[in-house]
Amino acid sequence: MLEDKILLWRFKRGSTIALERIYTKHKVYLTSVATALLNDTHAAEDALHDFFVLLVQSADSIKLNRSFKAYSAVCVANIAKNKLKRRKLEPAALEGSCAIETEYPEPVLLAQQQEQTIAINKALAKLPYEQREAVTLHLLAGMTFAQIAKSTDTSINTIQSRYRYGLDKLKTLLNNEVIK
Amino acid sequence: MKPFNNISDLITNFNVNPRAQKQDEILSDAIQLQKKRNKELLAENKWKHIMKNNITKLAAAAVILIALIITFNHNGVSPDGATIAWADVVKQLNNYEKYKCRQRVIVDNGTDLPTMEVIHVNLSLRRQEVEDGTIHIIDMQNEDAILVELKPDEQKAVVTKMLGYGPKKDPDIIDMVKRFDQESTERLGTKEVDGKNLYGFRHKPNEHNDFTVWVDTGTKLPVEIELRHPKMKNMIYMDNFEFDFEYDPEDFSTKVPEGYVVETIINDYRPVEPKQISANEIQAGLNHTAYTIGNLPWVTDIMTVQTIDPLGSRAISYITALNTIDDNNILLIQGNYYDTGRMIWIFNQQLVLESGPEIKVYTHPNGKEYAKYFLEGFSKDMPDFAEFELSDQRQTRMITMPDEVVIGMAANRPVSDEMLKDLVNSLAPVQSE
Repeated sequence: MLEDKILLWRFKRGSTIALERIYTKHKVYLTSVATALLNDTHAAEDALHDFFVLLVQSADSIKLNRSFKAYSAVCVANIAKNKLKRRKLEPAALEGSCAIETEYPEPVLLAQQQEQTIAINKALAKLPYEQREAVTLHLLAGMTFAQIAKSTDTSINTIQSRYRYGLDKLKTLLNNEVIK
Repeated sequence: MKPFNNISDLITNFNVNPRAQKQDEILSDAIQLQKKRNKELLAENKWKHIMKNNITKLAAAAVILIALIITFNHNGVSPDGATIAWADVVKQLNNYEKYKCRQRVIVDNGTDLPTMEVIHVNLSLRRQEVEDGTIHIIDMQNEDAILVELKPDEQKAVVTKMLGYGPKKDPDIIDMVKRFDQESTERLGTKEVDGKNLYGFRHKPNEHNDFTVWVDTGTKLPVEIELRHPKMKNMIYMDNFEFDFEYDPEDFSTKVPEGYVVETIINDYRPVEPKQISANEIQAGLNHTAYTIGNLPWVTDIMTVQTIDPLGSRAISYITALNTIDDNNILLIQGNYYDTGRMIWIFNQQLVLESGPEIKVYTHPNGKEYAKYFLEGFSKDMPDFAEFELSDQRQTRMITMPDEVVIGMAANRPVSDEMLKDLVNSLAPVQSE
């Protein structure tokens, strides 16, 4: 966490090396957040691109009152939400390997991981956006319910309900998939 | 496919990589934007940055001086008739990477610092020759910056290695000059010194800095600069500028001459991830005595952590965190820069406790902020140990030990006099295993 603060401090003062390190450190995580919300890896990559452009453009005004991880996740979630609104992008769920590149280098593990990732993404796509957002920001971004509530201007109870419903539905969807 | 038993874990481990080609594109675009932004940053932010940085202060002042001269002459002809064109000055400056000058620091209360001659080979390497015979070589060209202090009379040397501090370079002169604020300069007219015609300018970029600059109208280069810090009540005065001189590279070597007794100090500025450590590890990281806390009946939990100073110094801090029975959270902070030699300001603070003849506890001039940074930083690093709401009553105390070591104390709530006394009396030097 402190490393992020130092990197951000250097980045704000113009360091391209710090920017590169921020990118390398968070690219997979942010792409995962965006993919979970958009269910489209290409749109997720665009969201990642938009985020880093905005990060540089607004570097002078960034004031973190939470971790960079949470901050960046909220930014990517907002970008994703705008993309969905703007393009009326319907969650279409990933099919086949559909450009998913996971972090597992071993072929067997890779295949398993890809299969799992696709299944999760399919299930996430079937959740209402708000539930998907609550599940993604809490589990993937590690944000507390209070932080999510604040960033989405919603009450904590609502976020907790969305999370609980979302998780229950995911459980049902994923285990039905297995039975089929 | 196996059944999905733990959905939360699956989501937590959901990992998607951008495609390699797209990765390159995103990073390349971001870096291009950052480079563009850097050009704008150079003049604006570095001005503030360098004036706060002791190591670059002198170089910065000289750079600003040159910037001022160029700026002031930008509009054309000076009152004494000497034409100084902007382009000529820029061209002139491009010819000089190195420069030297004499520097004096004059303090209003009379405790002036010794005069020194400062020679810059470039903006990352300089030599300072102090009037008492001491020589400083400051080399920030590599990742590990180095400061060598030589005392030829005593054949003693102090070598301070600042790991991860460099490479550091003072701002590019031309970029600064191009963006310098020209609006608020005052023309002081001419004077003659040693047969040279000088033209003076005064510039107050902010409440902290007040420049008076005298320029040789012939060479278009600075001759004198006076930089007053009204709030700090001191003044840096520089003259005897030279831009065209020969130097011996050996004079800038950080290798200590043979026969000297060398004291080596290592300050580690490399980023570290916060981690739990033992008292002995604190001692290994400090170049002065490390202190540990004895058993106190009102302490419910204790943890020692190595982390980066959240105040931005980039140095490593060693924090001993205490949770107490009255729901307080107390942090004791130790670091290589925590000694009364560096923190002389402590003695101007209010003395709140004296324990025995030599341990004293003082207030901190900005105690709420200090406590905030350390408490919040620690809570984020070690949330399982310290999860609390920051109190408005938080406070900082600075504990000075008999061997000049300083220990910072940040507490979320006020610590009673009895507890403070207990705590201070329990401090003991770490005994190596």
